[in-house]
Amino acid sequence: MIATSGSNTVPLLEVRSLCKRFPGVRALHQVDLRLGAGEVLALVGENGAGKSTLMKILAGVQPPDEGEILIDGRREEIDGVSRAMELGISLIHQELNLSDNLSVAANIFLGREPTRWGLIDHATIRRESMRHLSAVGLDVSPDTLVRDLTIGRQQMVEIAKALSADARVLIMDEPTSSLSHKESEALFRVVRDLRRRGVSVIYISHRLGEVEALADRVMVMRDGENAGELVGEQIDHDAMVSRMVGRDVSRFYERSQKASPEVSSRPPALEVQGLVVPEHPRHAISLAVRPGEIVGLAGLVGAGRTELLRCVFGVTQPLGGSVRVQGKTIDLRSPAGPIANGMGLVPEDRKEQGLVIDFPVQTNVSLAGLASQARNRLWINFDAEAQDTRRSIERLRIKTPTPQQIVRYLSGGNQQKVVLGKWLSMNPGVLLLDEPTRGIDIGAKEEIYSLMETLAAEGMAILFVSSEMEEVIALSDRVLVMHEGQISGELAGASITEEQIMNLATGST
Amino acid sequence: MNKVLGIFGLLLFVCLFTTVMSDSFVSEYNLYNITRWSALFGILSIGVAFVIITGGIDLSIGSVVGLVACLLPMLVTEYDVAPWAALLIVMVIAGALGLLHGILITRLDLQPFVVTLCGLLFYRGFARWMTDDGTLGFGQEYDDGLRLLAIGKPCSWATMLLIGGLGLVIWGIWKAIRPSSTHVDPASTEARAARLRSWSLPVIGAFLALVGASRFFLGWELGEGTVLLQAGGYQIRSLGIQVPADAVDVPSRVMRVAGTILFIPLVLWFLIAAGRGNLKRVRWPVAAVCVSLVLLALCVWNLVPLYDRAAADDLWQVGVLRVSGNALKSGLMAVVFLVVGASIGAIGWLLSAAASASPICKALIPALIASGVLMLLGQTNFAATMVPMPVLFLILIAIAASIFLNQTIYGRYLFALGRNEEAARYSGIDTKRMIVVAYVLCALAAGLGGILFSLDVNSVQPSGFGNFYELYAIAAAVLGGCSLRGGEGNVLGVVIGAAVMRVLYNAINILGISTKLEFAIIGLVILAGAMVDVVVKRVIASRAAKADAAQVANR
Repeated sequence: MIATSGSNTVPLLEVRSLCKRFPGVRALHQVDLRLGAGEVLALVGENGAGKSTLMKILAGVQPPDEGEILIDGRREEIDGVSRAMELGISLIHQELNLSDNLSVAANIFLGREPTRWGLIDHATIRRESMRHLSAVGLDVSPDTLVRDLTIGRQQMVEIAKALSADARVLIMDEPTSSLSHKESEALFRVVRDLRRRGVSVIYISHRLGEVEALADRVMVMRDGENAGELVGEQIDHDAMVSRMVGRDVSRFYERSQKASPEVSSRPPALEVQGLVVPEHPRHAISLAVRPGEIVGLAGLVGAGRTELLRCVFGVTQPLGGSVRVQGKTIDLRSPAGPIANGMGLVPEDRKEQGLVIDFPVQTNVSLAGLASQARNRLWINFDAEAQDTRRSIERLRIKTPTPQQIVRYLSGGNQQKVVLGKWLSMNPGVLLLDEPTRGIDIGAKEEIYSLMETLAAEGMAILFVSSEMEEVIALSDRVLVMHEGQISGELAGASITEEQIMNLATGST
Repeated sequence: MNKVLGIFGLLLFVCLFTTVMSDSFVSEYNLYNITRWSALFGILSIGVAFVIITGGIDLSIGSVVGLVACLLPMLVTEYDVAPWAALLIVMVIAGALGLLHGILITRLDLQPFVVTLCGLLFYRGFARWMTDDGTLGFGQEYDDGLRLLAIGKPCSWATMLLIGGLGLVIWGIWKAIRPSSTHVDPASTEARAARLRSWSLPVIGAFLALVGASRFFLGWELGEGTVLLQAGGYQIRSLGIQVPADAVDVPSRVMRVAGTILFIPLVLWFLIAAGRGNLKRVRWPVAAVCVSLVLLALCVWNLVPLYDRAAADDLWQVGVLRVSGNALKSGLMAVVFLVVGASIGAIGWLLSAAASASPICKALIPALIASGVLMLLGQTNFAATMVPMPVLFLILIAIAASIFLNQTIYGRYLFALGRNEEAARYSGIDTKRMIVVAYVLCALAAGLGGILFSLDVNSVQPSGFGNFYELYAIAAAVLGGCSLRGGEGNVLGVVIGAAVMRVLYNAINILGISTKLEFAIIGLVILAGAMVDVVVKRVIASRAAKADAAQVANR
């Protein structure tokens, strides 16, 4: 399409040998980057490859240690977010930076409010906001409060905000990670539209399918360095992955062996009967998972999968129905009941719900099991704690210098392994996982897949929620699909296909 | 641990500065008062530390102190309730108030700040209405009974050193001989350092016990012992050990001599180990310590006598300047302040540089500090000073709190939920109940504090008694290493923090600085402490980053 990386034209944005270090980490090393006007450049790489750091430097959030940044061929010091915005660079964070108590219009002009006689000029704000909202195809009133919008629409507001600041370079960090399929499509339309209007986009994503569909050029990063560039026809899944991991990998994980047919005759380890989840009070949900079985819970974002898991685990209290583990009805007033009966939940948000992220690995691994191994249910058993942690670190291959390392400084994949370690040290019969591989790199993903497989083979009942279709298809013995708070269908064996799941998930059958 | 050392350095700084400027700071009478008041505030601070660890705050402490301090004399003198019953009643009331706070915060999801702020206002107002704003007290009647709980002097510090030292020996040996679960090569420096560290505890303990025991060297006999508490015809008495009058000063002498004997080889060992570890890194800190100590000696020998001689209304010729006595005094005080600060700072710098240069040095730090402090304390007659009752309470509470926080699962739960309540809940912890427990413990500590304060002062004005105590307690906890974000804190630091607050207050009085400046100075010191903490953290982080970068570059 547009090959602006040629040497005769001056690129809109150029980065030369950028370096950045953090304590204990070399985040960026001699990184180069060129971006032409109206180009969509995708930036891919595993977690910790340095993508986010590079973008934060461009957006003025952090200063670089070495290297230079050129805009229109002129050397610029980007020493703050406001300077970056003056130069036309806007960053849209993975976690949106909107004040959800303010209106759409107020957010778009936050910090740059036009004034008349020293007072905020509301009329101009509304008029201009409407113009920018229509530019991103968002049909909402500028007076709507941001918190009343869906995540997808909030993202559009962020883009409109960037446009209102005359952004020439729009950096999007994992924009689709919490969007539904439909919302993602809308976002892609906007990105293509921006490209037509000459706005350049740097698009960071783990979802290589999107990158294939959207990008003019792909830059791959690995360990803080450039690891290759792909243009046009070269952009393809395997080519990207092999550069990301530095080796050839098969297209997707394949489970070596699905559960044997004998499994279906076992009594269920987890039985949910007529459970009424408080967020979806009009539906009662029943399901069963047998020992040795991996059951996938598919559906769109907002279909009620997370809410269901949280309710089964006693985080929220059901309005009706019951949960039985190994045939025994359990007390759902708090997670203590399910945990005592051999259930574990790897929650959706590992930083907020899974981990005390400022505490050491050991403290996190032992947190749930502390009471059961305590002497007289009071005194911490430090020896058992250290042993359990060591065992978890070995078994899950958690890469940490010592068990006393603060979890925050581990990579996403290793953090998730710490959460898993917390439950595995208790030998649960039932394991619930909510988006277990979200935001972690390919190597760690595969380790978690093979771990799930091993655990199932050992007789654990596994119920997992995932928005990644390939994952659900590759791992599940059965798939339950949810749509608007209820289970809209069950698939097993050969009928587990992407089409079938989408049909059930969108309620279009 | 670094935070505790930091706050300890601050305490040492204030003590040293005041001692250098004025002899009366280390007088027996003053030491007794400082330890008593520090202990009273320490009890409140430990209580609020529990709440702060959960990420909450309790602003009602001062008012709970005031309410309890009004209720106790009322019950005892006006309603003729038996003392033990009155104590029980007020403690139950205090606990119930904590329970109420906890329930309002966890069940109704009210913010701790709001709930306890309302508590602060309500209990104060209620106490004033209940007493009709009249001053209360116990009179003379309970001086030999109930009031001994606060004003009793059970034993001298020498006896405490003996008991504490023996305890430390037993605990240290038990810890040292327990099989360690780490697999380290026994010949490595790390293993040697670990052995050194684990054996230094019982050695320090034995040393303390020796100092304490020296008091009984000249002989002793059992006697009546002072009455600590009289309740319902029963008496609790202190150990009735009497020693000859000339034995009273022996422990101080032993402390001074033995401290010096122990300190000097330890310093040499420390410096040699540091030099072997990384000479480059420690040479500047060593130089800084030497220079600052020489300056300190000059201050003590030259400036302080001058300071003492200078009368406020004289005119003085200093070099070419003619200054008033007042300006001279202030100037000298500022110079000594800086020099003492520089000395402590340089020592801290040396300790941290040496600790990173050699693990042996790191292991020697506790013994080094213990022997150094004993050497200094030996210059005073601290060992002959009596222990105030509140100190006994504080020690018991501090040990119990420390064990609760560090050895039991519930302590661990408090830390975990303080930093991330949701993750704790997802791990099956009953976070609400634990939060309630924290508020109850805090209110109980405030209740005990109220009892002791009222017994001690014996004259309670409902309108002002305990005002601002919550802020003193919170400040002490924060100085001692509790983070208001929750999930952080340790008891020893909090106790030292409370001591810093009191010593500071005392120093202002002793040095003749206007007491109107009291709040300003305390505020400045806390601010400076917080700033130093942040700056040191940043320096360490940037240095680590630089070392890291150098390592990467060498690769």
